[in-house]
Amino acid sequence: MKKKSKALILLGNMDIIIAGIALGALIILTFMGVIMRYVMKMPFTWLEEVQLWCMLWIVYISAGAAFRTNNHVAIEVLVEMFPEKIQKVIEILIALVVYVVLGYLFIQSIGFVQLFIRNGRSTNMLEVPYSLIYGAIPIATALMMINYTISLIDQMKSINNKEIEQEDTNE
Amino acid sequence: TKEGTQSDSSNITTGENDATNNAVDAVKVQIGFENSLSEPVGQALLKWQQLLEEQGDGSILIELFPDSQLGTKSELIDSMLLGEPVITLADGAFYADYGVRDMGILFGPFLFETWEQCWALTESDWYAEQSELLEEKGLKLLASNWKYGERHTMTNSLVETPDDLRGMIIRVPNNQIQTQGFNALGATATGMALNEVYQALQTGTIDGAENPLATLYGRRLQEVAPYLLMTGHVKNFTTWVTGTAFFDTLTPEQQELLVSTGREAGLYNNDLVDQYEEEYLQLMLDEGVTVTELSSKEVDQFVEAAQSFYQKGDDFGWSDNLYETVRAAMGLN
Amino acid sequence: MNEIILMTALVLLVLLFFKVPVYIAILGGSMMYFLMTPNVNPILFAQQSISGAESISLLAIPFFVGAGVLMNYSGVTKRIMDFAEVLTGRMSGGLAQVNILLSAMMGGLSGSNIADAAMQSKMLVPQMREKGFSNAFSTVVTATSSMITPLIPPGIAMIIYGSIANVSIGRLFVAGIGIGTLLTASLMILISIVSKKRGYKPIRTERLTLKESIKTTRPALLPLMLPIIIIGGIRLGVFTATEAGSVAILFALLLGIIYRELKKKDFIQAVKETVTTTSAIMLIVAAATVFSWILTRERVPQQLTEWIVSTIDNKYIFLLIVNIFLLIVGMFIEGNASMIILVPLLVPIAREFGINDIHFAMTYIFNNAVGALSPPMGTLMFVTCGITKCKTKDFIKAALPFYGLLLVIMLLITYVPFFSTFLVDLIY
Ligand code: NA
Ligand code: NA
Repeated sequence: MKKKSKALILLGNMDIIIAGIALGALIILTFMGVIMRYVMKMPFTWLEEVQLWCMLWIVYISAGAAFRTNNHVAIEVLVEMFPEKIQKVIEILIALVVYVVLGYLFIQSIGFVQLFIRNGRSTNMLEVPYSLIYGAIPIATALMMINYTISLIDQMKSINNKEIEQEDTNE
Repeated sequence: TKEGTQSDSSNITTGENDATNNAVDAVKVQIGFENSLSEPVGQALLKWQQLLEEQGDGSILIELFPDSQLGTKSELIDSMLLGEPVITLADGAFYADYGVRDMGILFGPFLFETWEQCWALTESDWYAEQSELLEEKGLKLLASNWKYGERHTMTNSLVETPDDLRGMIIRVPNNQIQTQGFNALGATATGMALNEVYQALQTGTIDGAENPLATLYGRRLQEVAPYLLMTGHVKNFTTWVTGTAFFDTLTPEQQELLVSTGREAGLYNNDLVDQYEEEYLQLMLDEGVTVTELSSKEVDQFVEAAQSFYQKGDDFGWSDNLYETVRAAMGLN
Repeated sequence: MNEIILMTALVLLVLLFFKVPVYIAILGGSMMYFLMTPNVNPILFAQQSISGAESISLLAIPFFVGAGVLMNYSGVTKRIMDFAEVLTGRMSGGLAQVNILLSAMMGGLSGSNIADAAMQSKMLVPQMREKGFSNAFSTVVTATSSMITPLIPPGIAMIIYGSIANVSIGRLFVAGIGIGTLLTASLMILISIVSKKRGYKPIRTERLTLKESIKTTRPALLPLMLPIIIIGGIRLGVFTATEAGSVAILFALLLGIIYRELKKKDFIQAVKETVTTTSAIMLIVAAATVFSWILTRERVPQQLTEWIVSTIDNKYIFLLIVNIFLLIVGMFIEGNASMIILVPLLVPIAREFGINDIHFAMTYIFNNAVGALSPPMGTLMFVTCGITKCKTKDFIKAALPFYGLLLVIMLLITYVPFFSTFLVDLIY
């Protein structure tokens, strides 16, 4: 039973784990690059393309987790001036916008990946297919939508709880 | 629908449109490039723009986007494959990475002794074959007669002979051909973004950089690396390329015009490059740069060292005997 | 085409102000452009959002965010802060002053103001709050002081400006030291005034005894090696400013192991914080790349500049227009990206008016930096608020005196060439 829940936690944090590995690789390879150039006088020729690849994956693969951990910033000044009922309507509209924009990015990024499947291009030095590197983007965008949904549900739950608490105190 | 939101402001032009378009509907070709407008190549592009305007009927116009404003070379080429009306400059090393492997040799060290050999090669059947291979990949070469300049080497300590260069860490653009090409000359090539080169030279992270004079001077490297070795290791011609998808939407007249004015501007460019190279050299001298010319014996020493590069054809995925084929195509044995 | 751009900008602003996450709001505006422009392939929307996150010059961001986070968990931050208190304990707003000084020092390393702001938001703001500073004030101090970073050499901004405008980069560096020092000193004065008013009292009034000083200094000796290693490494050419970030991370990791403060759980938490923070920052930068690409493609900055050229014939009005123009541009386009477009257009005009090259360069670079801080689109504001969870409303309120100061300095730099040129004249 306990083992299963641990596996589930791992699965639920798969994005963080992959991004974390990319971060580790980025740090260690960059440091190794310094040693190879400065000490060994044999610079890595392929470093830059791997750095870019790691960077892209860190940014997009953990983008969903950034929703989960509420890391995305928004300007709340104006909305908070409205009465609460209208605020709720606005929240729904915001959710709609997020889904539409991410959905659009999802579709277009699939088109982008298809371009590289068609032309079979790969990176200059290590010849890693770009379709593989960019293939993470549509997946990451889908993950963003899923994580956004989770954070919305959490938010609604906490609002409901607050309302219940408030009713309790009123009594 | 999408068209519904679009009224007279549309500037889309398809192949069916004939030459009677007015300026509002004109095809706007976007030329994106890394250089700034003040460089010779920028000046020559203004000439191209002007020639197209004068000789055309206004149905096709050029918009210029210097300094990589419209995106990097790779991004622009990708957008061509998506049918965007984009032109950019690219060279052999880039096409090699793009899958036309044999074109990498165009960037090999000391391949050409003279510019005439270079132009002979671009007019050869071999070059035509390579262009066709590019077209199969969706890229159409518009002009290949533009001099970009001879590539020289700037260092932060005095370098006078090929032997002095041994083991020095020299920044080259990030590709296999230029890395291996410079390694063959005895130096240690390393890739690095051009923006970081100034500071890396200043602190000694790298010992030198190589580029045509216009770029070396434009990046103000003379402030931190005041030694110029006139290696001339690559006679760098460049090509203007667009997507076949876009090119095929043009009328035959428009296609012809774009190509002919591009070549004509190329001739203008080559005069400018020659003239500017002297000017840049003078400017460098004025700013206290130590300029070292190679003796013919030293050039021979480099040329010999460069041979090891041409024997690595298998690493680069070249056709058999490519070096000999290319030599023959430029009229040498 | 112009009505499409207007619509795009309008949608962007509406989304931005109606609490849509910043990253989605900028992308949403940009999406409208692709929907309304049938002759541009919408796949370019994906291409540009990806390319914005794929930039080598922004590698400093994950590195310095990571370094800040790890220093917190490894106990490095605490030891440095204890030491900083010894130095600043008797000043009003002690840790706020440390925040400013650290940015002036960091100016020599990261070279990226976003990386600097992100790192210090992670490191300093929690410490400042612990010492009784408000979250908003701490965030504002961090955001404002990171403006010092691009001014103090080395800096990518100066290198790009010098290359494009053909101005000596060495001289720009020297002039930057002058302006950077001016900004540092004025910010420190402002902070001590604000702190007095708000009751951010000095931590102590008495001098520390020698024994006490040594007691807090000794644990800080190892952590204080970090800036020495980093600055030394960069100056000696061992590594570049970007690579220095990876060195900083590994050094903090090592200290964490030596101190036995970095537990496995902390380590996992540190990785999680680093990747999610990096992602949130870089997605905003990436979205801004799409929008800036659209503006460039439609030649908006070029047309505006042409308009300026054709209407202005007075040097001082030109400078004023440049002030306003760059503030607005700074809000919407990332600093280095706009520089590439605008410098070649504006510098020849400035030369025609007889404005000194170095003077104009400093005016430009300072203005651009202020833009990154201005609402509604200032990247620095979003980055710091995102990390410290400060509401933008509170940020802007707390930032008002700082905006005032920046405005004064901006006008001084713009209209008194002396501030830009005196150091250069002295040295060259
Ligand atoms: Na800096
Ligand atoms: Na700071």
